[in-house]
This record gives sequence, structure tokens and C-alpha cells, in this order.
Amino acid sequence: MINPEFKRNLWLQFSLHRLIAMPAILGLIFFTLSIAAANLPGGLALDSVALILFAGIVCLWGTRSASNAVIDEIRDKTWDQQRMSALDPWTMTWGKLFGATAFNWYGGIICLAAFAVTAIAGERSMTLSAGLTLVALGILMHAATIALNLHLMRSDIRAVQRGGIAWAVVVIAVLFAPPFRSRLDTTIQWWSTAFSYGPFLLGSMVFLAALAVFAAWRSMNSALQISTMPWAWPLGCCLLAAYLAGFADGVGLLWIGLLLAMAMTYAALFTEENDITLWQRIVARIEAGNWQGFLRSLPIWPSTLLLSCCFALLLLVSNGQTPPFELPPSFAYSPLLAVTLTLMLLRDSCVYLFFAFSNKGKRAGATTILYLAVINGLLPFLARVLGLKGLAIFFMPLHLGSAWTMLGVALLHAVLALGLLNWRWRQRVLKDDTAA
Amino acid sequence: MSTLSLYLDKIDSMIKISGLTFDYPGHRALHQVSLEVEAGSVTALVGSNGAGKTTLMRCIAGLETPLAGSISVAGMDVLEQPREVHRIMGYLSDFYGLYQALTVAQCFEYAAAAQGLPAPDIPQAIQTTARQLGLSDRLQQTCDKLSRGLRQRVAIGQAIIHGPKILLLDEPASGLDPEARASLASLFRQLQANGMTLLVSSHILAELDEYSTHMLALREGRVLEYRTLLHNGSQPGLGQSPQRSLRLTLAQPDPRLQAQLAAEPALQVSASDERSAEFNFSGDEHAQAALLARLVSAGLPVCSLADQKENLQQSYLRSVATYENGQNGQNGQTNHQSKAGSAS
Repeated sequence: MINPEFKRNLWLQFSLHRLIAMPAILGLIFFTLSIAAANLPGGLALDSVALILFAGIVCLWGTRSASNAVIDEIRDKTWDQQRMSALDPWTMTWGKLFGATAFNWYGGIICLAAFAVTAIAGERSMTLSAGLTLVALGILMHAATIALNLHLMRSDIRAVQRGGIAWAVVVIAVLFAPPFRSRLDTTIQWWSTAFSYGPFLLGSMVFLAALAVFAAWRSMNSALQISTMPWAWPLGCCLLAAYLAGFADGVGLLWIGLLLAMAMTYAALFTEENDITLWQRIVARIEAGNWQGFLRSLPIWPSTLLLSCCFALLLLVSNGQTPPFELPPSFAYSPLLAVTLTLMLLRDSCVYLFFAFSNKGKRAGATTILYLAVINGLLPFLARVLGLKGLAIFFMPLHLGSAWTMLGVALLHAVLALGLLNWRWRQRVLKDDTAA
Repeated sequence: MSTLSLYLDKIDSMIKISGLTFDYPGHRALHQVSLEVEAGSVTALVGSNGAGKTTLMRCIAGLETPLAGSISVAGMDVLEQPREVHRIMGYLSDFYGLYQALTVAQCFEYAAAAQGLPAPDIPQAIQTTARQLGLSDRLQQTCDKLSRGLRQRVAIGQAIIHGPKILLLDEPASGLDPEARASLASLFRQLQANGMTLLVSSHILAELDEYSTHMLALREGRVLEYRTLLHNGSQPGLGQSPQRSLRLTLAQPDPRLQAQLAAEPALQVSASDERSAEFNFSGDEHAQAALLARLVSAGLPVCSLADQKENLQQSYLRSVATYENGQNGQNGQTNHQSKAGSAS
């Protein structure tokens, strides 16, 4: 039996009018341009036009359609019906991924066919690899949009509710495109192996698209209340770290891993559900000795926080890797820097939870960012302006010359943040017990 | 017939809830709720706004994760096997939506396929469901062209098309006209007769009264009462006499009335004065006739002896009153204790 979710999307996407209109309009565009090209002095690269149309129909419009696959369900109040269905997460994921964008792919395939014909007629190389790369890019953008929407759907971020994630994905794609652009005859050095540009770009896109589809599937599991062990998020982090470290032939792998894990922890921390009821559930499972339930209830950010600690400890033990970025000349590098950064991450996580557990927990993200900016930026700056350098070091440990002092201040920050969090927890849990 | 179907036909309790606690930030919505819902029953879920009715239904449906406690439906843990539970469950949310651009037939087809109904059975299921809900002539109409009442029927159709063993309905009759409500009540009775277990929440208690066999009253997240409703059409258990509430009225006050009733073993007086009395009577019509004859022969000027049916509304209000009296009693006791404590 055909995937019901895919079939439902086909019903919504296709009508006789749309089925005829898409090839008719695209055909008219190509016909007009081919006539115009004959009259232009330099001609017109119809294969490039086909690629631009593909990008517009699949990458822009298609990403918008993929976003609507989730947003429309919430807006039209049909999401509960979907969550109550017996469809498994994978069926639901691919049904939405390829169903909601089916009409865009219909137009995209026509553009790719036009591209292939004009490229072959013009005797251009890498036709197949360019076409497949674009297909992978389309899937990457659609899957990333679905994954992000599913991940953020419980948040109150209005941009999510208004479909802003689609445009965020497009902007991210545009921002990250330049490093992937190169001349066709370029050779890429990756993990000490030379690759031709075309196949490497295709491989990269397929890898990233696979990661995005995997992320969409995992997010769908969570949205359908199917609890899972938190291994996928740190695994994705490790795979991305390995991919990025390959460009430096593996040099700085641990540092890249640490920084990526930290970035992914912050990203998940600020976007996941973290209210006190979730953590009460987690504590209840710990108290009941239900360790599997505890792991299944955890949000994803603690997994990359733990991974950050692992990378920091490995850096401390290996003592050989330097950061893949330039440190200020006055800053004496020490492997303790990695541990300091991890302690600061722990501190920031505690500060976020401190605000998330308050009565106005919905503003936790903005409040945390404000207070961290004050602690890390404004207060040290004020202390320096007032000539109190000794005080400034207690606000921003990373500006220190001594690695051990830096570590000590970061540890003090983390302990204080944990103490504050513990105080807020006791305060709120007692209130709930009183209510009970 | 599958092993699951055989198992489902044998079980006594369709839903088992134990120690269910659910929190919203700063507010406990359900407090240690424990109950068992009988297979084949129609349970009216009643309570004021904010009592926890919708939260309880969403927990049973596996749409929310509780703080503590367990819920099993047909022997399956809802938290562990939500997809398997959804195959045998239908749920109509209070704030449901429909795919506006799809026809009624397409909506039904999607719902049936998404709930795992085998493809060859789907066309027949669509026809049967449409007939049950009076939508046979609307199958090719898109949902955006339907009235509110018809949309409600489509939503109910989506919830029952796969023939679930248990159906959860949150305010199913809101927006329906009186005629549609009557046909909905008839549908629910028919579904129950086919062995389906229903849990129905509504503020319109008179409507629930027509088809409910049990009442589950919630108040501030706690179970006030869960009991069988005995009314027209209800059958007593094997070996039990039907218990009915009767009201006796005299033509003029008689001081012998209370003593005469106290001497009758088959009745329990709930309220009485010299002119009238209300009591629960265990016995059939013949026993009732014999009781009347004894009262008349004792010289009491009886002018009427009639069934005093307690409707759902009265049952619910009585539960609330009992709960509030209990709360006041506890508060009084606590105040008394605290006063005593401070005095000592």
C-alpha cells in the first residue's frame, strides 16, 4: 500500500490544472529564451537558466513547501490526528519530505531534463554529477527545514509559527555556499586524499542530505511521542567534526569536535523544551531507578554537553593539539583552555535552566543571553574602565594569562551557577508540592 | 482473527490508570489518578473547566507524557507502545481540524490508511462510516464547503473509521444541532453495542445521560467518583436486584410514614418528612406493587409512588457536594487541629 501521508500530500499538491501548468510555463520560458538566445550577440546559457529555475522551484519554493508540511498541520489543528495515527516515524518523515514537495520536484525534474539536454548539446562536462548534487541540495534543504520545524514546534518562537524556518534555511544555505564553490578542475585535499571537485561536492551534499534526513526522522520520533535514547545528536556532532577536520587532514580534530559540540549544545539548549515539568519527569525517573526512562526523557543538549567534556578531557590528556584558530598574542595557550570552555558551557546551561524554571520560563532564552552579555561583556569592560583589572578577571576568565587562574574562575562560576539552579529547583518543586 | 483481537475480546478493563500525575509549569493538572474503565462501557467524563478532563484524555491517547504513573490500554503501555495503542484507538480532540482541500472520502481514506486498515477494506469502511454519520451524499464534497455540524461528523468519522476498540471524544457534540445530537447519541449506543469502549467528555450532561453507562467525575485533577449509572435500559449484574430511586407522596402529612418505611427491609430512605419520602428500592415491579399494597393497607394516604431517576447532572452535583463537604470537614478539622496546636 502506498504511504498514506505521501498520498495525502499528492492529493493536496496536484490538480489537473497544476499538472498541466508547470510543464507548459517552463516550456514557454525555455522556448522564449532559446529564441532570445539566437538573437543575443553572446548567446544565452540555457543550461544555467535551467539550474537557476531548479534552484528557484526546488530550493526556494520547495523549502517553503517542506516548511508548510509541518506548520500547516499545527495551524489547521490536524497535528493531533497525525500524532494519533499508526504510521511509524519513518513513513511519516518520507511521506512529508517527498509528498509536500512533490510538485516542486515535478518542476525540478523538468528543469534538470532541460539542463541535461542543453549541457549535452553544449558538450559540457559533469552533467550527471551537477544534477545529482542539486538533487541532494534540494533534499538537504527540505529535510533540514522539516527537522528544524519539528524540533522547534513546541517553542513560542513566532518565526517558526509563521514559517520563518524555511527562509532561515535558505539564508544558511546561501551563507555556507561560498566554501563549496570552486573551479571545475580544482582538486580537494581531504583526510590526506585528493578528490576531484565535482565528485567531492556530490559526496559532501549526499552526506549532508543524509544527515538532514536522519535528523528529520529523529525529530519526527520525538514529535510522535516515541522516546529514544539520546545517541543521534552526539553521533551527528562526531560525524560533522570528522568531515570538517578532514579539510585539515585531521589536524585539530579534537578541538573541532569540542567547538562543534559546544555550538550544538547551545543551539539545542536555547531551542528545546526545558521547563521544570520536563526536569521533574526526569528526576522522577531517576528516583524510581528507571534509568532507561531517564535517558529516554532527556533533551538532546546534555548529550553534547557530555561530549564536550569528553573532548576537553581528551585534549587535556593528549596535550598536543592546538586550537584551529588564532589566539591573541598575549594569550598563552594551555590544554586547560578546553576544560575552561567546558566549565563555561556548564555555567551557561545552568543559567539558562535557572531562568527556564522560573514562572516566566518562556523568556528564558532572551533573559539568559542578556545576563550572559552583562557578565561576559559589560561588567568586565566596566571593571577595566574603572581600572579594576583584578575584578574584571572574575567576570571573564578567558582574558587571563594564567591557565590555572582561568580554570579556577571558570570553576567558581560553574559552582555558583549550579548553586543558583539548585536553589531555584528547590523553590519551584516545593511550590508544586504545596499545590499538590 | 489476530491474537490481539482475541485478547481484546477477553479483557475486562480496557483502560487501567495507576497513580497518574501530570504537571503544567506551576500547576498540577492531575493528582495520582487511578481507575479502571470497563471494556464495552460508555463513560461520561464530567467536571468543571480546568478539572483535568482534556489532560486525562490526552494522556490516555499518548499525546502527553505524565510526570508519574502508568496508563495501559488493552494491556499495552501507552508510553511504551503509543503506535500500537493508536491502532485500536480513536480520538476526537476538542479543537480538531480537517484537511480543507480534501473531499470527505479522501479524509476518510487517509484516516483509515493512517490507522493501519488494510487497503482492500478501506472502500467498504468509507461507505459504512459515511452511512453511520449520514454523510453518504457528501463524500465528494470538500471539507471547506461543509457546515460546522457536518465537519464535526467528518471528524467523528475519521476517529471511528478503523473500527477502534476504544474511542475518546472530547466535546463531540459541540456545534451540533439537536437533530444531529440525537443521531450522535444513537451512533454511540450502536458503537457500544458493537463492543466499543467510549470515554466521552462534555459539558452538556443531559446529552451524556442518554448513552452513558458510567460516570467519571473529576475535580481539580482528582477523581471525585467513578461509578456505574443505573437508568433506563441499564441491566443489573447477575443475581442482583435492580436498585431504583423512588419517591412516595402522601395526600396529607402522616407521622407514621417514617416508621412504616423503616420497617421495610428492601429500601433505604435517603430523605423523608411526614408528607413525602425518597428512598432506594431493591426489587422489581412486583415487589414495588407489594410495597404499595402494604403502605396502603397500613392506612397511609398514598397519592403517588413513582420512579425518581437520578440523572447525570444530579449524580455529578451530588459528587461535587460530597467532595466539598469533605473538603470543608477536612479544613475545619485542620483549623481545629491548628488552633488546638497553637493553644497548646
